[in-house]
Amino acid sequence: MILAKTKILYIVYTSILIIAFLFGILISKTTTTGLNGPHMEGILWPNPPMIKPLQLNNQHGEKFTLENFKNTWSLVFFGFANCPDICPMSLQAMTKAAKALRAETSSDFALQTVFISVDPERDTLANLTKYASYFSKDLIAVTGTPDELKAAARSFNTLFMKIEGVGEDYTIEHSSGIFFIAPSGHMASVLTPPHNSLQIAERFQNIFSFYQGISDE
Amino acid sequence: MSKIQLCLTLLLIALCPNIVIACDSLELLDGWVKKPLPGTKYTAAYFSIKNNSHGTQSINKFSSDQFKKVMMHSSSTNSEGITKMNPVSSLMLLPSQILEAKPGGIHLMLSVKNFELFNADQLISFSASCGKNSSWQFSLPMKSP
Ligand SMILES: [Cu+2]
Repeated sequence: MILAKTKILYIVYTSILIIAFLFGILISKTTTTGLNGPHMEGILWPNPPMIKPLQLNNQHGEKFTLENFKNTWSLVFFGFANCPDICPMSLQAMTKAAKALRAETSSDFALQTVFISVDPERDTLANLTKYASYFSKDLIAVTGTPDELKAAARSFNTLFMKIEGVGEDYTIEHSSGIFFIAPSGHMASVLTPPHNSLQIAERFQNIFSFYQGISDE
Repeated sequence: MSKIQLCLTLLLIALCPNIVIACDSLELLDGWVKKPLPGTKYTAAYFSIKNNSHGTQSINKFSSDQFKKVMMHSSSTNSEGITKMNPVSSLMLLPSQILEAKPGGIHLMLSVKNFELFNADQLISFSASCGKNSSWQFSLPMKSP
């Protein structure tokens, strides 16, 4: 009799534990999964856009295409060297964040920083070399013909426009977000200005662990 | 405005050429000039200016002998994340107002005369003009961004 009672209690107790465990899993899944799959602040998900083929040249005169975005994470910024107000701040924050991220002992990823100049007229390869090395020896500066640049902007779902001024005093309206590109070529996130390195590094870490979580599933 | 009113106004202006808004009550609180970066022809200057007078002040122009050209600009970013830079014709300061020119907003866009001339911590002299006969001199240190 006592033995039977203990057995029943044991079964009830175990059942409660199992139900609680399954319920816990269900709750954790629904809070992170939601209706459209996992969600996290600032991450383009589900259906992150894929960047499209592009053909540019880097500051050393080498081809820079979609292939260069594969097998590495990338932080990408569009701008031009003679944009003295916004561009230097964003490039500085972006290169500083990348340096800090690469220096982390646990970092087991490749990360490149890319500056796409939309001003090929003034940003010659020689000028780009000087400009980029001011920020970091690792900053890849790329540009192309106006048509190649238009295609590159389209590839990132953005645009730029030259605004004529007096003589050389023209300016270019351009996207000032930092694009986070995953090694798969997916645009994982876009961070709007004003930029600071800590915020960029934090966004990267969130995206990185999010993408790792997905690939582990 | 009637023709008579217009004529009277024009006459008044012609007779009193010294009606100017003075900018001597402006005070520089802070500011800096970005050292021109290699490979560039333009740089920017930022400041914070206070209007210590009881009247509204407006600055129509800035100039500096150390630069080819000084332009008043304002940067803004729209909801699509596109950044624009627009010329500003004058900067207005209400009584006791502090006007802040900072990255991503109002700034002085400077056209570089000679890149070699500059070094960090150098002082750059500016002149702000608030009217025909009124100008205000101030200087800002040059810093690496
Ligand atoms: Cu400007």
